[in-house]
Amino acid sequence: MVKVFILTSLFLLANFAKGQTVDSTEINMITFIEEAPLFKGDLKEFIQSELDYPLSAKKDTIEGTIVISFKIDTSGLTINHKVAKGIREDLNNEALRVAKLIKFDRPALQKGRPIEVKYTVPVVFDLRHSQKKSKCRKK
Amino acid sequence: MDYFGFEGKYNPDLKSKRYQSEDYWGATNSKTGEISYGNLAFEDYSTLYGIHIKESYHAQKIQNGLSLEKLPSDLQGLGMDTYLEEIHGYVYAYKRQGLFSGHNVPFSGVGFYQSQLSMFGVSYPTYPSHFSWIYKVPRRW
Repeated sequence: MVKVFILTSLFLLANFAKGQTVDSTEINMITFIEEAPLFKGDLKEFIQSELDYPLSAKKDTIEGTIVISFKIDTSGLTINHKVAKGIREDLNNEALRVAKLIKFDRPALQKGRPIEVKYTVPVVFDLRHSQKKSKCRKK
Repeated sequence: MDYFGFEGKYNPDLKSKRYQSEDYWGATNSKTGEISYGNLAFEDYSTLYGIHIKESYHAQKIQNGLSLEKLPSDLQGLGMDTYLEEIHGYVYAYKRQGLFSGHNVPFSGVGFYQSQLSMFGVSYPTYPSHFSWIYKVPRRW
């Protein structure tokens, strides 16, 4: 009798938990930000200027765009960097390294108070651009 | 909300994966079109009305089965899927400011979505730059 009771309880509990799951495709479009985080200068340019093309990827002539997502905290620092769309390990690691160098001059604001927001940036690995850059460095 | 005849409900506890904050102005559920209002929308009537106009823009599209603005396929699923639609909502409400003059609707907030999409080379609408005062002239309809 006790076993039946326990099994019934577990079954009911499992169904209840199932009913609580949220549809992952459901997103809230939300108006929450008053001022976007500020990066003085061109963020795309900054990323490209800091990039060191990994030699292994150069040898294999691998190109492409990696997307890195991170949070901008209430002081403008970037934290919790993740590869949202990667290519392969050496390029992903380099993209992560560069993304970690980004610091915003002002965080996002809500009613004048700093708030944390998620941000996404592309890191472009382009062999032609990389060759131009290395030529410039040699000069 | 019923008193003012605005669609939606007061839900101060709504959270989003994209930000961490205790407060917000308004939100629309991308699946159901249900509108929620946060504490910041209740600063004054004009602000509430402005937020109602912006969120209703999204809600009506969803409830009428119209598709929301979409990003190029290679940028979908990166957490920015609703950004273009958000920008369209801001621009729509901006052009109707005469209906809720004296508001505190955070129109500058559109810059966040625009800066994100510009990083990926996606084109997006902007607020009218010439004669924008026309949109702010108080009107009833």
